[in-house]
Parts: sequence; structure tokens; C-alpha cells
Amino acid sequence: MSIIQRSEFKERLHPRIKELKFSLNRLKKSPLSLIGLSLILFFLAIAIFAPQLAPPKYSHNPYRIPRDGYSAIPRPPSPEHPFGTTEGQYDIYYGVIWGTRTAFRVGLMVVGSILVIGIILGSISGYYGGAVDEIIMRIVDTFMSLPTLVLAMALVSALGHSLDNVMKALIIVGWPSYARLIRGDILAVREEDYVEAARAVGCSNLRIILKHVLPNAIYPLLIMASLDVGAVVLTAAALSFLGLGAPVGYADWGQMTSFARNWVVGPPSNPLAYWYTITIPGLFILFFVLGWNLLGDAFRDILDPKLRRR
Amino acid sequence: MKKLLEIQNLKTNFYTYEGVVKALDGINLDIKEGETLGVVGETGCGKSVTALSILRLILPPGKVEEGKVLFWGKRKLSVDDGGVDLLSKKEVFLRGVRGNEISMIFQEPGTSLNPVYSIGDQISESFLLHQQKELCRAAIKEIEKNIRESNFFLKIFIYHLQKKIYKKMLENSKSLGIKFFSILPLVNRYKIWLKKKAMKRVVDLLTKLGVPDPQRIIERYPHELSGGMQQRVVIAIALACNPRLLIADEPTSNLDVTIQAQILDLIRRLKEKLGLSILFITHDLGVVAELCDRVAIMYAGNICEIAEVKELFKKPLHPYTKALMNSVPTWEGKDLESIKGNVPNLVNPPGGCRFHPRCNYALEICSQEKPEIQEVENNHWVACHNYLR
Repeated sequence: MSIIQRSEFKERLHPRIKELKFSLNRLKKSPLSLIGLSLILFFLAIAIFAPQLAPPKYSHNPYRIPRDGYSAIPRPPSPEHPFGTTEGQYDIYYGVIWGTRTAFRVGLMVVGSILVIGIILGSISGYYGGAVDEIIMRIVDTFMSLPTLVLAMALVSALGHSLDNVMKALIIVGWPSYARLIRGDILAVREEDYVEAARAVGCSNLRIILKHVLPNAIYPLLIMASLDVGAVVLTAAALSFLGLGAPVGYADWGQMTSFARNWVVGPPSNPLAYWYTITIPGLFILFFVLGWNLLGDAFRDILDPKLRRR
Repeated sequence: MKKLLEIQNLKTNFYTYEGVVKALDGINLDIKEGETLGVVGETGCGKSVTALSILRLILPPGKVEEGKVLFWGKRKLSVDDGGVDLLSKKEVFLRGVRGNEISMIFQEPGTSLNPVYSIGDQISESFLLHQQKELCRAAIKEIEKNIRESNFFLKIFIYHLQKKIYKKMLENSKSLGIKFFSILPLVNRYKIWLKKKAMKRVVDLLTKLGVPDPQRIIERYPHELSGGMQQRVVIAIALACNPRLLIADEPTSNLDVTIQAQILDLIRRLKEKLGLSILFITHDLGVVAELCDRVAIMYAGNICEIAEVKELFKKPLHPYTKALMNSVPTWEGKDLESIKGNVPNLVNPPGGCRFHPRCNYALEICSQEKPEIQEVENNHWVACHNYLR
């Protein structure tokens, strides 16, 4: 009996497997998205195996970067410190490895929260319209009229310097554009005949929003979200660089670059003497953001039905 | 025959930027059990608005201003059997009526199906919304059968848990616990029984509608079907819960003639089999002659004539009906007559009878007083001053 069930199961899943194969094929055809995918997988592996790659010195707080002395002058790569040490003798290797975890945490949590808030407010606003729409959209306008980074800086300064507050600030700054995007799509889908038909069959408003409107309107948002993970990490790094992010000594790429602020250019006799302090964390940020952007493009190719069947 | 639906003095307005559009200006209509009533009129005369007003699906800026829509449904609700006024009921009550007792077929089958769900999912939604209890009972039976047959203790344990959830659902489908379970991944797999049962009903229904190979159709998506097949699916959704009244809003106007004939034939057969009443909205007099028992002619938000279909074609009384008949091509090759003038702007309709500026038989009183609809001959109602005694 179980064999029959299995074959039946297989048959039922067949169209999905076919679609998945088609998606993978599309992915294979564009080398750029493969590069993006492998970059993200690489970083994911680093994040997962961070305890093995860089065993923490302080087991209760692995994000604290161990330091080797207190001298301000960075030291070049050596067998003990594969990437050298930065200002204050913080180990760069340890910092970037554990910083990967921080980057994933910031990127995914911020974008996830933005998605949830944006979808809820945007769909209420788009579906019900009227006064609710007016109120929500005017709030969105207010947020969008302020420069993102400046608003985020102001919020972090007000809330206090910590990584959690950076994340909160980025969420507060980020949701309006998502709410606006989904609202526009919902406004278009709301007028479709099948929504009216769903109403005529006796669906409640909640059911119509969740089952009929959102699935038809959400794809542009998902693509935007995948592109934004990198951008959020970049903004968080910028805030950390400006000294508004994680506490001193916390493994965070932005802070690593912040340590390197005084050492970007070395003494006149040897301008590149301290290259490792800025280049290594910089490269990590660069490839992480690049990976997400390429992956976002790949998602667009896969998810967008108009591009998909070309 | 018993009345199924009665519309009394229904007025619907649309509040637009240009002014108030008086889309329905106090119409009276009734539909008897097992009857097909055709509503005929040109574009913009308020046919679809009538249909939407019955189900209270008019969205802002539109508003039903006045009137009653009395409905004698499956559930006996009033003691004196005076029908339920759908316009005064709460939204929750109407949700139970829509799709369950009165359902609707829309003009464009292609756009009234949701592109992201398979046909099976869309038809079963109707069952899941209105027949949850029956489906639950069937699911419990199925699970019990599985408990008896399976011999792996973990499976039996899971089946017992699922049975408990269904029992709870039978008692109170809106309890928080059920809502919570239905969100949890893995736990919400209990729903597959419900879905399976619903799908079985979908297949039965499609077979009844004469759809070939329903097993394959339910896995298809709307864009993979032809127009005629899409319309059949839309009809299946409408008929899923055995409604008393079917509102068909120009169901054939976007299909080609052979498919049109098939769909009309299907509707006629279903009507005989299920004892449906149909409110058939169209602008095609040929279709009306083919399908309907009685016809109501609408002009600019008013009903101008109601008669049995044969009577109406033999002896149209209202000047607008006459003009309408003359503008249909015949095989004799007569010259077609058009109605002079334009359809009035409903923001600012002509006073009195709304047809009088275009009417060849207009009297003086026509521009001053709105004619009431009256029974001129047996079962032949006309709203025209020429026939008022």
C-alpha cells in the first residue's frame, strides 16, 4: 500500500518538481546569479562554522574580539594573526569571521521585519483605501521625505548606541518604501474580476487579502527584499563606521573598518603599510553585498513570470 | 408559483466627481422559483448594478440608497415568511448567502478566475467556505477508516490527533485553537483530509457539468484552459453549493457562437436538473428568446416593460422595446432602424420618463411625470403614459 501511496505522491508532486527543475535551469543559464549564489553559500558556511574557524576566547560572549596587547599601531599578518591586527590589537581574522554572523543577523532580521510591517500596513492601506489609506500613506510620506542615513543616525543617537538599536532604526527607516510598493500592487489587483468573484462566493475581507490579493501582488516585494539584504548590511556598516553601531570590540565589519579609519594611508614613506586594516573587512562587505545583489537579480529572473518564460 | 426574490423600489447611486449618478431609479422586480428572468438593456442601463445590488456587492463610491431585496432562502428565518431583506442584514449573514444561496457568474471567465490557483483549488474554495461541517464529518469518517487499516502506532497516534482537531472544528470552527493549528506548519497537515474530500466533490461536480477528464482539469491553471472551459469552471464555482438563485451577468458575451450555444445549453440543462432560478442579464435578444421565461427591459436605470417572453416578442408595448426589436437584424433583410439620440447622462437624467427625448410616441405628460409600471394586460407590465388608463 505504501508503494502505491509513494507513486501517487510522486505524481502529485510532479508539476512542482518540474517547475523547480525549470527554475534551477534558469539559474544555471546565468553565470552571474550562480556567482551570487555561491558567494552567499560561502558566507553562510563561514557563519555556520565560525566556532570551528575561529574558536572564541570568551565562550560566554563569542562576539567579543580577542585582543593581543593594547598598542594602537596595527600589526601585519603573522602566523598567530592570519589577517594581522587592527588598532588596539584586535584580531582582524576573528573579527571578520564572527562579523559574518552579525551581518546575516542584521540583514535578515531587518529585512524580515520590514517585510512583515510593510506587507501588513501596505495591504490594509491598499485594500481598504479611504481614510485609512490616507493616514498610512501620509505617514509613509513623512518618513520618506527624510534622508535615510540621517534619520537612522538620529534614531540610533536617540535610542543609544548598540547593534539592536541600529537594527531598530533601520526597520523604522526601511518599512515605508515597502508599504508603498505593496500598496501600489494591491491597488491594481484589488480591481481584478477574480477579487469581485471571490467576494461573490462569500469570502471575508481577510481571506480575500491573504488568499487572493497578496499572492498576486507580492513578487515585486520579494525581489526588492532580496536585493535589500545587502543594502541593509551596507547601511549598518556605515553606521558602525560612523561610530554609532556595535559596542567597541564587537565583531562587526562596520566596526572593523571604523578601527581602520586612522590607518587607511600609512606614513609618507610607505603609504600602503597598513593596507590589511581596511582592505580585508572592506572586501568582506563588498562580496557580501555583491552576493545578495546578484542573488536578487537571480530571484527576479526566477520569480517574475514575465521574465521567467523568455 | 412562489416568489424567490423580490426587489422593491431599489435605488442605487454612484457618487462621482461629476455628480451623483442615479444608476438605479427605483426598480421593482420579482423572480419566481424555477424561473429564468432575462434582464435586457443597452450598456450602462443598470443591469449589472441590479445584480450587484442584490448581493450588496456595490463598492464605494456606489451606494444602495433605498429599497428592499426580499429573499426566501434555504434557511427559514422569519416567522411570517415575508422573506429576508438582504439589504438590512449584517455583512456576516450576507457572506453566508453569497455563493451558497445566491451565486453569480461574471462576464469575463478569463479574468474572474485567480491566475495563481489551480482550478481544483478555486472550485473547492466554495465548498470549504460553505460546507465545512459536512466536509469535516466526511473527513472524520475517512480518518476512522485509516485508523482501522493502518498498523503503525505513530501513524495511528497522528490520526487520532487529527480526528480530535476535526471534532473540535465541528463544534466551533472559529475557535482560537483551530486558527492557531491551521497556521502551524506540519500540524496543519491535518487539512489535507478536508482538501481531499473537497477535491472529490469538485471532480463529481465537474463530471456533472459534462467537463471531460475532470481529474486533469483540476490540476490546470486558468490560463491553460479555453474560454468555454473557463466559463464552465466559473459556472461550477457558482453551482458548487446548490444555490437557489443564479445571477448570470452576460455569461456568453465574450465567447464565440458555438461555445455560446454549448454554455446556454448547459445552463438550461442545469436549470431543469437542479430547479434553479436564474436572473439572466444580457443585451442579446436572441439569447433571451432562447433561454428565458420572462423578460424585463431596462432603460437608463428604470424597468420599462416586463412580460412573458413570447408575449414580448409578439407584442412589444413600450416604445423603447419596439425600437429595440427594430434594431435587431432579421433574415428578411429589412433596413435596420437605430434609436435616435443618445443614452442619457445619468448624472443629469431627463425629467419624467427617462426615454421621452428619444421617443416617437412622447406625450406632453411624459416630460413631467415619471410613469409607474402597471399591469396593462395579463402578466404584461409596462411603464408608459401611452398605456395608462
